[in-house]
Amino acid sequence: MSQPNIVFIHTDQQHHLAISAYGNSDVSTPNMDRLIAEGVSFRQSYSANPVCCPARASWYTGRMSVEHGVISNPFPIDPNLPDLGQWLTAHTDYNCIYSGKWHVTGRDVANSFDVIYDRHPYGELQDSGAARAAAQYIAEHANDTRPFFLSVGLLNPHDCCYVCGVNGPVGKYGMEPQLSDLPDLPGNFDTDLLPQNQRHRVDHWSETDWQYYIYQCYRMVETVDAQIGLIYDTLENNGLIENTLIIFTADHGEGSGHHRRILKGFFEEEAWAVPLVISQRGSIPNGQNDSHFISGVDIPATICDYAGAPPLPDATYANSLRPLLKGNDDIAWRESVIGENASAIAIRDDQYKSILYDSGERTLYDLSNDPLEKRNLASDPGLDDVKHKHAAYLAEYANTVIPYSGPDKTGERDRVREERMENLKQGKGWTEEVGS
Amino acid sequence: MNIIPAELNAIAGQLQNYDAPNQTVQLDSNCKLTYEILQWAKTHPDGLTDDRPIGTVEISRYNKENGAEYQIVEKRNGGGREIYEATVTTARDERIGESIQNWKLDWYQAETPDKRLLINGTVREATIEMNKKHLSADTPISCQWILPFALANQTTQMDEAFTTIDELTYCKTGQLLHGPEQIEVRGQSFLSFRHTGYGTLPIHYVFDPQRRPIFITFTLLSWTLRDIERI
Repeated sequence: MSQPNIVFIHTDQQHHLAISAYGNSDVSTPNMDRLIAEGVSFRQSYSANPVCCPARASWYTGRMSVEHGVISNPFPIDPNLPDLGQWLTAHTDYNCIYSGKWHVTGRDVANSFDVIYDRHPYGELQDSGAARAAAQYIAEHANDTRPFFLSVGLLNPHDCCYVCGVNGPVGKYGMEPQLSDLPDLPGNFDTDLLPQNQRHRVDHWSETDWQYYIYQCYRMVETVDAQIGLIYDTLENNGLIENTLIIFTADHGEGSGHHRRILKGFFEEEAWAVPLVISQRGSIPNGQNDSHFISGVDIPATICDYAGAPPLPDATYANSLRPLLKGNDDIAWRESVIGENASAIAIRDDQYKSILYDSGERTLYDLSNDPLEKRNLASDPGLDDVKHKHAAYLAEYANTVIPYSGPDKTGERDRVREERMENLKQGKGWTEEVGS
Repeated sequence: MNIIPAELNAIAGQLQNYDAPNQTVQLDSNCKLTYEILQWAKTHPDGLTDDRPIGTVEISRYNKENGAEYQIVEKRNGGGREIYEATVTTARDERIGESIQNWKLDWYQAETPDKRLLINGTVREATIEMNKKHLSADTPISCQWILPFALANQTTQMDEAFTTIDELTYCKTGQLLHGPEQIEVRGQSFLSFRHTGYGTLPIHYVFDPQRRPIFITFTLLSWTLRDIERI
């Protein structure tokens, strides 16, 4: 077999630092740690759109939200765009297999992959079965002559959406004082300088409620960690670990009490940044960190590259990570990374992050001197050069992407496509405020 | 005021219509427990869940010399219609009642009964051999299918470290069993054991005044006892 098997394992809503190998002593993730020890960690990896359906549509098309049309969960994907399952089936010899959460609005996964385990809205009911089905498939097909591309959608720690309830109790509410190992609150728990429209901020919980919420998120991460271990062990036990590329990431992060927020859908690091680890024993360097800016759209580009397929069509913002995995630091790479959602577009470079809300509010962070994003420098005139630079990057982006051209061009999707992109092309945003 | 204790939050609504079985059986005899699996209802914003039970668990226990053998069948509707068929042998253990010695798990989906995942395990001298993997465990070993029996006769306070083999598939060391705590439900006094640890959201094993393991609450899932019988 000349091409490797490819196993794409993704969790849902995992904070990028909820991994013990990255120094977090409140969580224990021996199986994620094992992948990290055997692979390359991309420590500046970002969701294309930090919400479930848009992020996943980007994973499978290599296109940004403004292109595939899933600007937020309710909007269906452009039916004319091929996805990874269809693309690899058409252009390679891979068996394309799916287990667990798919959640690409408007597309039936069964039309793109052979589905071995369906999704369920609760990770507690889905994930152990999704991992077991994946393990069963791996064991049964260990000696196949055709390689497989197996995508495993683990849902947790996403269940934290349901056990808390923004307006309700936190899980087994009332028992948290019985637990002696609740984690400390994050260093940016008390920050009041963010836009007043910030999503998923919770003000009525006690600090102990918050600690218990974070505690639960970590236990859910550990649960999927064990399930990842089953998949890894099955690959190893069946002699496939050296011929299998393993990609591990999450669709988006989780508020986890940073800025008093839960859930996702915003561009502070806790929600936008994601873990990303790629390993293949004997073929990819062990235990290395990479600091290039990575977008979720780079994952399908990488999968196509390893599978020997041509790049997905018109995936203009996507880059294969394969050269980086070979230790090639001399290649040209993006100097910033961009994310977008239904209400904002964000860009970060090696020092600064701008978040431009369609409502007109602006946030600017100096990540080098304020990594916890506690000070909004949007009104600082001394940073006009940063704003100009970000505006130029965004204009280039708006001129490069190919906006959604499918049916039903209505509502938020149309507004983003028409107004936001046109404004960015014209240099509006930061530049109009700093009088360029 | 919340009159449902934390241990039972997940089934607070469903408790309104719950009637416990009439029978009482000593759990150190040959006996069988049947549970319904409930999911925490009406919390999903898209209304994707409801109040219907989503499965059953049947655990039959047979006394053996210095331990027991368990036959387990769990059926539940998750992403697939999953079926677990397992056999477990245990040995008496003074720390948590019983500790697992051997197991066989046969897992499959009802739609594809020919595609099965088999997991076998054996414990020898503080080492768990699970399929081809060896894991160290210097604490007693249990799982959610065995603990309802193992804890039934526990009357003194415990704060015991143990290893769980969740669903006889996922080995997790660093677990802790604590209790029993007394809780009040609808004017009755119950005893609750708490299980916490790596990869475990607090699980509670709740025994009624007849020492029957009547509720087992996980996070979004819970088991409620539907039947208890001598076999």
